[in-house]
Amino acid sequence: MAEPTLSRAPLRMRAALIIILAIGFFLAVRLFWWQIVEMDKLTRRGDDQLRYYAPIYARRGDIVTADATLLATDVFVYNITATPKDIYIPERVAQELGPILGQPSDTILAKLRSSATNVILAQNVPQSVGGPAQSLKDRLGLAALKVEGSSRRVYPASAFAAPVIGYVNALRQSAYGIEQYFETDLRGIDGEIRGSSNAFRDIIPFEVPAFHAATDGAKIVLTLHSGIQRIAEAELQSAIRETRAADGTIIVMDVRTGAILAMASYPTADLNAYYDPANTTKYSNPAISAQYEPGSVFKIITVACALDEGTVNINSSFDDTGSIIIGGRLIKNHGDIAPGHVSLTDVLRLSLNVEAAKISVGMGTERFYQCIRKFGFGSATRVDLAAEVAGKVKSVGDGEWREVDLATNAFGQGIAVTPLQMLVAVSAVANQGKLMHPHIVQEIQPANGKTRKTNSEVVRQVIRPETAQTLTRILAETIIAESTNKAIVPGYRIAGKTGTAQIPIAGILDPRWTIASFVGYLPADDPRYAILVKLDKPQTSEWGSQVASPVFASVAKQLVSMVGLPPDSVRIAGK
Amino acid sequence: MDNPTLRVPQINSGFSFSIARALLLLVGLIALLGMIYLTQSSQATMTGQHALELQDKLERLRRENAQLEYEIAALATPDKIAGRARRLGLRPATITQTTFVVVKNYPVLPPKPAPRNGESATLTASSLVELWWSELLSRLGWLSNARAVEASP
Repeated sequence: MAEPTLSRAPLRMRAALIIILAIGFFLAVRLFWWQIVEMDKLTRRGDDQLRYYAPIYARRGDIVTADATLLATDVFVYNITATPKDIYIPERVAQELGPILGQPSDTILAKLRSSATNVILAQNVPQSVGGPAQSLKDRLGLAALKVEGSSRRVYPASAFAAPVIGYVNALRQSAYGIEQYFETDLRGIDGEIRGSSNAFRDIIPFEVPAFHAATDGAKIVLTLHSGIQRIAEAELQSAIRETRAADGTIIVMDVRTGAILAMASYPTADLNAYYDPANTTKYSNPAISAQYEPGSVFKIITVACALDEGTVNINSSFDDTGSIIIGGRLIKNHGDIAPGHVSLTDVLRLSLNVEAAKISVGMGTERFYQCIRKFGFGSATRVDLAAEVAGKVKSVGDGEWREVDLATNAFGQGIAVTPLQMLVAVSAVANQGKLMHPHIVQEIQPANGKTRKTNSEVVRQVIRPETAQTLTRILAETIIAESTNKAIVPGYRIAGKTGTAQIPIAGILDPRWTIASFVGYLPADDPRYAILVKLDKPQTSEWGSQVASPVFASVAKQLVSMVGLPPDSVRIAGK
Repeated sequence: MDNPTLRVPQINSGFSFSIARALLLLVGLIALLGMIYLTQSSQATMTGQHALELQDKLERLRRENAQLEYEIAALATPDKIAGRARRLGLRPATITQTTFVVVKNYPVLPPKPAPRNGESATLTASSLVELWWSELLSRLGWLSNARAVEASP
C-alpha cells in the first residue's frame, strides 16, 4: 500500500471538508425550511394527528301542518359495507351479523366470501340496526366492516303536499317549496367534540373533551290544514280521473288573513323518491310557478275595476250584438250568442266577452292597467315558497301591446297569471277590497330562540269596500240565477265565476284544448274562504262550468263541514 | 499472607443524615405532588370518558327518537287515518247531518291582542327571568356551553 503523499493529502482533506460543508449547508437549509418556512403547516399537521374531532350533526328542522301533521323530518340511517378479503373470520361475522341485519347468515357469508373488493351488506338501515352493527365491529375489532351513518331527509306522508314542501337530496341540497325557501332556517348549525386522539384516530381522554352542541334547524309550522289539504288533493285526483285532464290545481285560502289552507297540484310524486327520473318534473308547484291565461274568471277583476272607477254601476245596462271590432280584430261571445239588452249581472252570468271588452275600453288603458296591477297582476305575490313567477301584463308602449289587448285582457286572454295571483285578487274582492299578502308559513320555531309568527298583512286597499260588497252581491246572484249551476253549495250563498280559456301556442290559440277553472268564495254575506279550481285540458268537456264548478262545490261542501261553518240560515238567524 | 485491612470510610454522620432527610423529604414531596397530579388528571380523564359516553348515549337516543317520530308520523298520515276510518265504517259528516244550535246573546269573548313582532306567547314572570338569563349568557358566549352541560346529565 502506497503511502499518501504530502502533496495529495491536503487536497483530499480539502475535498472532504467541502463535502462536509456542503452536506452541512444542505442540512441547515433543510432545517431552516422545515423549522421556519414550513413551521405552521407542519405544526398543524402534527396537531391534527393528535387532535380528535367528531362532528355533532344538527338535525334539519321539521315541517308540520297547522294541525301538527309531520310532513318532513330528519332520521339517521346507516350503510353497512365490508371488504371481504380483509375479514378473516367470515363464518363468525356472518353468524353474528345475520340476526342484527335481519338477513340469513348464509346470505351474508356468501357476500363475505365473494371476490368483490367491497360488498354492501345493508343500506339506509335505522339506528336499531346500525347501533348493534357498530358494537359488533368494535367488539370483534373488524376494521374491514364499515358502519357509516348519515342524516337523511324523509317525508312520512310521501306525496302529500309535495310541491309545497319540496325535497332535500342525499347531498343535503334542497329543491323546491318550503325546503328551498327556508333553507337557512331549516339547516341548523353542526356542533363538534374536540379532544386528543392516537394515530388511529381513537380518542385518548387526557382531558375533558370540548363540546360545542349542535343547533338544530328551526321547526316550520305551515298554515296548511291537513284535513283541508287532503280534501283538495282527493278532489283534484278524482276530477283529473273523471275529466281526463292533463293536470290541475286547487288552492283554498282564508280571505281575511291570506293564510293558504290547502294547495294541491297534479301530477305530483312521492318526495322520498325524488331520485326517480320519472318524477323529475313532478315537484314544481304550478300554483305559483305556472302562468296561464285565466279566461272569463278575470271578468271579476274587470268589473271590479269599472265599478270602483264608476264607469259602470249595478244598474248599468248593455246592448250586446254578439260581436265587436276593436283594434281591427273581431271579438265575439262564446258560442256566438247575441243576448241583446243585458244587465251588469247578466254580463257576468252569461260571461259576455263583448261587454267585458266594452267595459275595459270604457275605462281606458291607463285606468284599466293601473287597476289590474293594483290587484297584484304582473308582480309576484311574495308568497313564502320558492320559484314563484310574476305572470305577465303587457303595458302600453312596451312593444308587445296592441289595441286589441285592452279588450281581450278584460276577459282574461292575452294576460298571464298564476293560480295564486288569481285567487289572491278575487280574495281581495271577498275581503272588502283589501289585498292580503298570501302566506303559507304560520310560524318558525328556532331550536333556541324566539318563535317568529307570520302576521296577516294588508298589501293595499284595491277597491272600496262598497264596490267589493256590490260585486259580491252580483257574483252571488249569477250563481243563484241558474238552479242547475254546478257550483251551488246547498245552504250557502257563494260568489264566484267560471273561466274557460284557450291555450296560446306559437302565436295562435289552440283549438283543441282549454283551461277550465272556477274561482269562488263563501259565505257570500260574510266571506271566509276562497277556493280556486283549475283543470288543464279536460277531455269530457271544455267548459269550466261543467268540469271545474262541480269540483269547487265538492271541496266547499267538505270544507264547511270540516271547519264547522254553519249554513246561512243558522248564521244569519244567530246574528 | 498478610491480614487484609478493612478500611471503613469515614462518614460525617451529621451532614449525611441531614442530606438524607432532606432528600427523603423531597422525594416524599415529589411523590405526593405526583399522586395529587395523577389523581386529578385521572379524574379528569374519567370525567372526559364519562362525558363522551353520555354524549354518545344522548346522540343515540336522539336518533332513536327521531326514527320513532318518523315511524309514528308515517302511520298517522291523513290518507292512512282516512283509510282506517273507512274500514271501521266511519264516513265524514255532511253539513246537513250537523245540527247547529243558535244561542241568543251568547257572550263572545273579545279577541286576544295580536302578539308583537317576534313574540310568540304571553310572557310570565318566570319566563321573563329565564329570558333575561339566557340573553345574558348568550351575550357572554356561555349559552352553548351551558346547554351542552345541561345535555349531559
